[in-house]
Amino acid sequence: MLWRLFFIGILLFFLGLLAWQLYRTNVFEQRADGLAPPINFTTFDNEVIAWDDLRGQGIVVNFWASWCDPCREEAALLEATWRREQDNGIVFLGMDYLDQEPAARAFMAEYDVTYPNGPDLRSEAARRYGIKGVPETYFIDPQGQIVGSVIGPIVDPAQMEELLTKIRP
Amino acid sequence: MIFNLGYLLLITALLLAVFGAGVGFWGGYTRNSRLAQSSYHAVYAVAVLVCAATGILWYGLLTDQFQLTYVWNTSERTLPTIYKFTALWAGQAGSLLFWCAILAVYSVAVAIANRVRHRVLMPFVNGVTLSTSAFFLVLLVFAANPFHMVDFIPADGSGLNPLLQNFWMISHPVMLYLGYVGLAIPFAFAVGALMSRAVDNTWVRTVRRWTLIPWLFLSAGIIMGSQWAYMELGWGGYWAWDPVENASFLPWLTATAFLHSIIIQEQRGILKIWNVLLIWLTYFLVILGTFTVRSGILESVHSFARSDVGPYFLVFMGIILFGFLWLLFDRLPLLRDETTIDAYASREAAFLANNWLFVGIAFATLWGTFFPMFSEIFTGDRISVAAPFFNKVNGPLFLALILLMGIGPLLGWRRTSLDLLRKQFTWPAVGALVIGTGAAFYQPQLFSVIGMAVCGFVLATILQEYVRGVIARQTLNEENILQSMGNLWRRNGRRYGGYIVHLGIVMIGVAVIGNEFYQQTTHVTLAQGESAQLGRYEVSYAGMETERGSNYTQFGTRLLVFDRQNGALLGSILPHRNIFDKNPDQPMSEVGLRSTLLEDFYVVLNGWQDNGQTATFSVYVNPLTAWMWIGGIVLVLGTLIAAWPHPAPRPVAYRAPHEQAAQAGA
Amino acid sequence: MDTVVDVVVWLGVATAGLIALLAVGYVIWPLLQPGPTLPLVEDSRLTELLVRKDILLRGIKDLEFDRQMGKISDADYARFSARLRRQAIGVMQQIDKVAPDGVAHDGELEAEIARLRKVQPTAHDAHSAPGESAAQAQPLESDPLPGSATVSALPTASNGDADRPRFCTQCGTRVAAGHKFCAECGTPVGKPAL
Repeated sequence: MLWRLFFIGILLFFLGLLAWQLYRTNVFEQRADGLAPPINFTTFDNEVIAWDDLRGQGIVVNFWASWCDPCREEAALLEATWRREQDNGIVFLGMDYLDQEPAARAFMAEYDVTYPNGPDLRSEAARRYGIKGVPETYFIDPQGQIVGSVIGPIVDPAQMEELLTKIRP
Repeated sequence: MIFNLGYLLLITALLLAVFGAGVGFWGGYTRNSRLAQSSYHAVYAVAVLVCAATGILWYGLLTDQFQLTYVWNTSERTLPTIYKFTALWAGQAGSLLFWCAILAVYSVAVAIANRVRHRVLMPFVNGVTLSTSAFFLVLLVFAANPFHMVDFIPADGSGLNPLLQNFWMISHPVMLYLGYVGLAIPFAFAVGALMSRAVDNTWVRTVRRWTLIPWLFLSAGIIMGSQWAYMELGWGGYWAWDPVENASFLPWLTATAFLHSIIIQEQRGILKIWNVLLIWLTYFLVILGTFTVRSGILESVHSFARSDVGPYFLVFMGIILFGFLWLLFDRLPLLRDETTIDAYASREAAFLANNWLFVGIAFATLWGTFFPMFSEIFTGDRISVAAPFFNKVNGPLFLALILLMGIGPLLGWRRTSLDLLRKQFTWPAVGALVIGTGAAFYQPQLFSVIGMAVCGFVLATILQEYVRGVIARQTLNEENILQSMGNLWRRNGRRYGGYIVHLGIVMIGVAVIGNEFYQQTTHVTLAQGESAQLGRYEVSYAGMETERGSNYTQFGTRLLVFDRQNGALLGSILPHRNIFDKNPDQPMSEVGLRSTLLEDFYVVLNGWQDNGQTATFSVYVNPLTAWMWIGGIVLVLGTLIAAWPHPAPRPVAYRAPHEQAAQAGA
Repeated sequence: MDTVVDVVVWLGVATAGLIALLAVGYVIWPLLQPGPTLPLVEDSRLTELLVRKDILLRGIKDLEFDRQMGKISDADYARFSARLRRQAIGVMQQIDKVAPDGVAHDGELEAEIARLRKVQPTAHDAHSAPGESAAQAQPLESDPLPGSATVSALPTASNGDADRPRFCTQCGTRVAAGHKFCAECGTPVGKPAL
């Protein structure tokens, strides 16, 4: 009887370790509240964005797509905030998720988007952040920690303001 | 529209699989023929539905339906058609569907082949296979839908991973899946035997062939995988003890152990519990491997993208582990061994030692594979044990295993007396001595000499077995040598086919020893017209050749290979790099190779400057590598001989007397 | 335009539903059929006996082959061979008993029984080849096997069951009347339910 319990105990322990590791993997590398996974990409304007160069600034990462209607609701607010805050140490990055370039450019022209925007090739950033859909926005403080995320469009300027204060350098 | 239909097919299949599994277990338990019949129908229906869904996804891939996110992420318009076809198993959702389809086809084959012979057992077997199908269908329906769509049609896909755009990647995954998935069948039989309390030798007999077939595919898949690593990854090796490679290797080890130990159970009625445990372990390792590859808990060069399937796998593994153990503990009194092992100098003792070695290697490999995870959890640092650990631990174990491969066949069942042992071991010992001395003259290195000597020993054993077998036949019958060989295979294919498999393993072992101990390497930068020397070769750089493929550009460097002694031109090779349009950051290396039976001259292009005015190469001389691939083929042939249906009488199921009279030779 | 789309959508839904219904119907069809439910029958005992016989015969051949290959000494051969043959005879008698009119018609089996009854497996018997030896059985000279004495006195399968001698399925030793376990090896020897 004892060896049976021992056997089962070892297996349980192993399974528990697997579960714990799976949980950690998900927490640290996929979703908010940890160190933000770095994003390096080339924008639609051929500007190369290197994550390490952005250290020391507050970063707002917005996942969007031209085919996503709710993204339209927040586009104007994002752009207006960017224009106001770009000299205050806040960077906005737009990651275009599963999209076609002409449609994306049309979308950006429509809302006169000027902050760095680029295609999320192979959905790599989306995977690493584990986004649930578009739009989804992450707020990353100057130390590179994710301090907040919003699933769905941000339409309330007050909410935007509140999150921005957390990431101001 | 048709893709929504595909999703609906999957949902229907899931419902039927769940229903069929329930009906199978219940029908088996109550011995109700209607319920059993219904479980057969469920097996067939699920297979048809899943295969139809697979066909629909294939249709989507081949016709560039980029509104499917799966197609979008794994294909592109200019992708060669063959890779559009293989893109089915290039991503998470598609490969799960492919897995499910293979399992469904296996289940049908098993159901049809055994429905008469194992009337009582089969409903349980159907139940287990359908439960496994149901698990994968749950993944497909809830976590990784291959028919997920976006509501617009993208202009082009983002391209197939360049690593997978390779000849070997067409067949290697298929073979691995066929092997992996097929191992669910012996497990299903074991569970069925325990559930129906028919734990005698009947299921063991049936299951041998159903294990050999997946084992064959798994072996072939592993060898093709190392061929791919050798030709594509370009680090000069064929095996890196990467978690994904280990994931396929672990069930291979336990399945091999199982194949050996069921022979003892059949012959001697012992090791019953052990066999059941082994096949359960094999199945668990299959699921564990699939889980680690797909959940991202271990880092590897070829893992799938992370997704949400992890928790589902954990739950399923829990069910397999504890459900099975509960069943086993409940049936333990039925699994009493009938005899004990008579003597250490007997074949069954050799088999037993072989089993311990296999399990030991499996455990060491498992430990090494998961060590990074343990270390990260307990110390916070992710420490990989890397190849040296595996080589140090598994190398000697494999050597002992190969030695045993030579000793085992020389022993008789039950007991072998001392003077006979001497007689049996004379020629193999001579073989070991000759080859060991040869190796020592070539290069006196202790481990390689021992390794070569052991390989010589096994080789001589196999030869002696064949020679004595042929002589024994010829003293009794009037046959020529070829007829005798044929008859040995036909009448005793298990044993003599097995020897051929052993021969293949020895060839692979020789190749491994050659590479491990005698590899020569150098790194050079050559300008056009310059040359470099390694071993007995001299290589000169002729210039750059660029070629355009359908979705990539090939940058090749033309190298001329000369014999260093007499300056004769041996050949010209073209190590190259392919830069794919959609993934320019992931250039694929293809090595330049001049292969002979004795050694491979192997060149990797590392980079070039000034449009190819100069280029940097890693140059290797890999002794005996060709024998690895030859050994692989030999192994496959041997397995075919061993698995080929024998003319030996088969057990029959109970039938009415008039039926039985009709069945001659049963 | 909209109506065309509607029709296509409805056609699709109808096809999908039809396929799903067909599949479900096929699976539950056996449950709905009229007539009595038959229990699943498999004479697992007979199957097991046949498998065991098969394995024993193969074991005997293997043993002979091993001796020809020089892997086993003559003394060991005689001992193990006798043990295997005894077991094989025991199993065949059981088969006779379980399925008297079924398997007994099997020509090969009859030949095998005949052979085992006649062949005397001593060290002199070097001629029985693996595979083809059924025909070259040697006449019986002496009978050293404990089981063989009863073998020749075996009543035919058509005899009644009451006074029939019983044999251990494991080692073939004769089991005394009333015993529940084999005196030789301890295997339970309950009467098989046919």
